[in-house]
Amino acid sequence: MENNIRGFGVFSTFFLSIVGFGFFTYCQNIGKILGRNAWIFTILYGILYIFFVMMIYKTVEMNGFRSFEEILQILFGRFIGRILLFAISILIIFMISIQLRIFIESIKLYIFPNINSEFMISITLLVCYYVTKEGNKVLTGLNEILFVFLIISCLIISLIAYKNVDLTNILPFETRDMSTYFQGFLTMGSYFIGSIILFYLIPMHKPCKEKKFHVSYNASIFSSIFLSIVFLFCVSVLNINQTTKSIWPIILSFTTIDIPGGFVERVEGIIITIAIVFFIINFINMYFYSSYLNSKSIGVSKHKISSVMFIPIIYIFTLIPKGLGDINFIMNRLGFIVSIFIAFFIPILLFIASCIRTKFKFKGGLRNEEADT
Amino acid sequence: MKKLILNIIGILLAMFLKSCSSYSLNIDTKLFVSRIGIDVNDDGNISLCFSYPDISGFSAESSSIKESGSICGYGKTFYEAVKDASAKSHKIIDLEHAKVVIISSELMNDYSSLEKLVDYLSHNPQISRRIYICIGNGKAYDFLNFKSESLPYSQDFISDLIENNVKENGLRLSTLNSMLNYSFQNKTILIPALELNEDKTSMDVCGSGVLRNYRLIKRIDLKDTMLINLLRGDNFRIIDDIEYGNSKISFEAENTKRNVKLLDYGNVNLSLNFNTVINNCSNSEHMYINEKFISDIKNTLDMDVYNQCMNLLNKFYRNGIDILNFEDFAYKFYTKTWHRFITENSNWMESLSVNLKIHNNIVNIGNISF
Repeated sequence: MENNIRGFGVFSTFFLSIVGFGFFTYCQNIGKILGRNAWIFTILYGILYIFFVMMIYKTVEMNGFRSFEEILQILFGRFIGRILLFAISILIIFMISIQLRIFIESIKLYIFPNINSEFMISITLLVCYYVTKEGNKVLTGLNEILFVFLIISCLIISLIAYKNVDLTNILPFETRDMSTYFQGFLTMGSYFIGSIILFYLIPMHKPCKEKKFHVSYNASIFSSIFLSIVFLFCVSVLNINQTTKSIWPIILSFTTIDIPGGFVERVEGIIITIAIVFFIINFINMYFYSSYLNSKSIGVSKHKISSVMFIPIIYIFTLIPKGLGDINFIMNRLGFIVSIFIAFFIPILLFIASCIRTKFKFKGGLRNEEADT
Repeated sequence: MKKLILNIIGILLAMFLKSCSSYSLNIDTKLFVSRIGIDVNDDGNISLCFSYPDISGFSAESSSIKESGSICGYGKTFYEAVKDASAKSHKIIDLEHAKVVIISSELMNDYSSLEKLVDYLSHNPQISRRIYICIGNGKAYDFLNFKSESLPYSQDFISDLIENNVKENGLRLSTLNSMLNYSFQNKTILIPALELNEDKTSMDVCGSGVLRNYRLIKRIDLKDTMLINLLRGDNFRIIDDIEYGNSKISFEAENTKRNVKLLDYGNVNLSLNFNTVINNCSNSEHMYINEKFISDIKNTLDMDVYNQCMNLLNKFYRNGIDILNFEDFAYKFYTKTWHRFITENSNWMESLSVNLKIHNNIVNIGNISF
């Protein structure tokens, strides 16, 4: 089978599926737990998370590079498999809906204070639906283009901003107990719900035999390094107290930056644009994937139908939280559990199930079974 | 059919976009504030004054400001005061373009009001974190209404004055962000202080206020501000003159390099290296400038700067003011020493000994060669 998506497509799609919402809120949440040294641990956690990415890769490999819905149906049967698919798609939709609400509230604060949330949600959904309905080829292509655009923009912005960075703010190195580090790992993992999209991407891009590492491992490390740099920047500009207290630390840090000579008067405008692109592409990726899963679970031939079906569901989910208290409760309690379920539990469960099925149920394993057929 | 649906969506969008009409307000209905003055009244109420340019004369042909105005609002909280000012002006107050906040010396001495003010400024998304903070010796209202003879309607006069002093007199800019940063880290910050003359016809920067934890600890003059910034390594330029024989020699020092080492037993080694330019030497024998003369000037200059700095440091550290933020430095770079020496010894500042070493390198003496 030929590769439907090239390596760079997998890399950029995986990266943008992970670093979307995290671009705004990761610094605040990880800073609350690990303090000023969280940037080191972000990289370490990224390396640790490779084991989970590896699990996803091995699961797909053990199941003969089949698609996610086929893997679930092989492992758990047709009925349970479809229920699981449906549950995962709804959970992803729930998560991105709440993220959309937070995004809209923040956009209202910084850019459009007088436009009502419902209108902005509708417009965002329509735009996202328009991209999503085109399917995987347009989506990966878009990810590739936007990845290059965003990385170049971030590099230029960091060149502008480097003079305002005070790296002494990350000192001293503080040690914490193991439970805090574990909590930090879970918090970081909760931003990695996008990793589930690998079940879709890996079958479309099999690695060459010469390459030992799949491109997704690189993307996982790159994502953690990127988040780490974002955190480092926020703390060195704002210091840890302000970082943990602000809603969008990355935007706040750019509002403090002064560029001599008035070359660009308000850098935060550029960074808000970059942040919006980050969020929208992340939302589109997850929206597409959940629509795809949903279409497979309810047996619809095209994912477009599920995408349309999800528009009112996302709209309702987005408007469920009445205020900041509800949003905080949902994100910190329900959202956290759902994220952990998707980012950790599903890969582990499928990996264990695949191992058991390969080693015990069929003596030759799934690969031999496929070869026989 | 597809086109029809797209058309319907387009029409619906255009209809919904009407909600933006509330945002695209007429420019005349907004009051674009350029300077904010904050004061405390005798009855304890907060007085918030806004200075704004009159942009009603703006047109495609001319963009000059012909007039400027100011308006004050009063209230128990800052929000009440803004509301009051808005009601008086019949306009929406837009703080996005504000460049300077002038805090009256009276409010500066009131700890709780100052804390509330910083809280208000930091929470308001309209107010930039780059906004300059300065102290006004007297009523903030007077500073807002000050009109210079050369530029009577200039809204940038105060910010230009501060920026000029940063370049020329070794002042350090204090923005809202730096104020928040220093306060969160329990560090001492120097805030520029403005002064009007008696008949209120001229304004200048007279020095700085030393602020720690939202408390104004001390006032210092411009020269001391320059020296403290030099000792902190923040200042890239100092201008001063020294006595040499019977004459005075003016010099400029630039490119300061600072090296700090905190020793275990409460000794701090602080060395400063800078390049010096001799500006003028009112010595009739300047034609005899030679190596000995340069070496003499260097030693005299080293000694003079050393004495001034040590006097200043003794004045602050003997009074328990950590002016150079050694505590923060020790916490970041010598955490073990900080635990052992500073946290367990409440009088560490009194017993601190600073070993200051000054090295200046004369790089230029103007037009006169030797």
